[in-house]
Amino acid sequence: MEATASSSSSLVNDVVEEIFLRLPVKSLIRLKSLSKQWRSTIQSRSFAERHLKFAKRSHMEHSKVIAINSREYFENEHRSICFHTLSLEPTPLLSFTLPKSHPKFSSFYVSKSCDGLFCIYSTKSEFIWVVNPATRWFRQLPPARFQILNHRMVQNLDDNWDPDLCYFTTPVTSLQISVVV
Amino acid sequence: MSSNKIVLTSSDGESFEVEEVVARKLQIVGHMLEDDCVINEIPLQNVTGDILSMVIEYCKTHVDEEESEEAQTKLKTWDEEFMKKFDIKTLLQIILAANYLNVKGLLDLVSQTIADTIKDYTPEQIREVFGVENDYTEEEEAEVRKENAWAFDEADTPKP
Repeated sequence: MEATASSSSSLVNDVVEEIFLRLPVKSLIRLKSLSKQWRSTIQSRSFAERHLKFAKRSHMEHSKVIAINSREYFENEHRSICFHTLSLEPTPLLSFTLPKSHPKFSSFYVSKSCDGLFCIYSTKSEFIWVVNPATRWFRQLPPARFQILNHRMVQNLDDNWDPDLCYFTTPVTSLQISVVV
Repeated sequence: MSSNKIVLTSSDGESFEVEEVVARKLQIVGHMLEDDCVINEIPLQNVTGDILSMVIEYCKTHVDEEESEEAQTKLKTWDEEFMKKFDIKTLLQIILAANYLNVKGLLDLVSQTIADTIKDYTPEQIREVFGVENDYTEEEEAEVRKENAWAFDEADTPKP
């Protein structure tokens, strides 16, 4: 592809990719609007995998991700879950609140992160959600039969367990969107 | 360890005499030396003298990579100071040279330095820096931006 820039910088794609692999996720999401070619590179599985390797290496001593039940912020009906990085830097690497319209995560469990992905499970609904707070991608997993059964039982119990602060987890942000169940 | 001298010549004809151990840090040179035992002068196309001299400075400093933590910390500090000397244009030239000459450590270092510099750039600025051609139509680009609008939001803290 011909580079249009006048500067000395018609850099080979491989070299630019080396640089992009070291960018934070949020920057990469912005760069999807660079060009079609870069969007497909950034969204590719191999790019995500290589990016994860760098992220694991460089976030090792840095931020931890924390999941908070935002009871403080919303009315009961609209409780939600926030993900934050714990760091002193002015712009956090990651800060994401699940949209309010999603199920009431009033009592929830958050799994440890696996390659930047978290599982959310609420005792009040039979669903399990998978969230990547760095890319703000989330999806509901279809429930297994035992979960549906279990949910019917739990619904009838009075459940007072309601932690505000759920989990400190492993320190990774990633582009990963695939899940192996 | 041999203390042979080797002369490296840049594309604009500048020559640098370095010890063989230093020259071997440039893997492109390392391979040439393995293929042939006696080479004294190696011409390097694609690299100008001013950039080659930076690469050599890096290689000289990193010539014996000691394992000790103290030595590592010292090198890291040196790397940081070394990178501070350059603007982004020069960094781009160095990264191309490091890629061509195959100097792994330097490629890593410059990639990270550039990434840290550009992480808050707008897509327009990035296109200019790297000479990326925008092949979106106006509508398509607006659509992609809309889909990822949150990433463009500077003050991205949740509101109470």
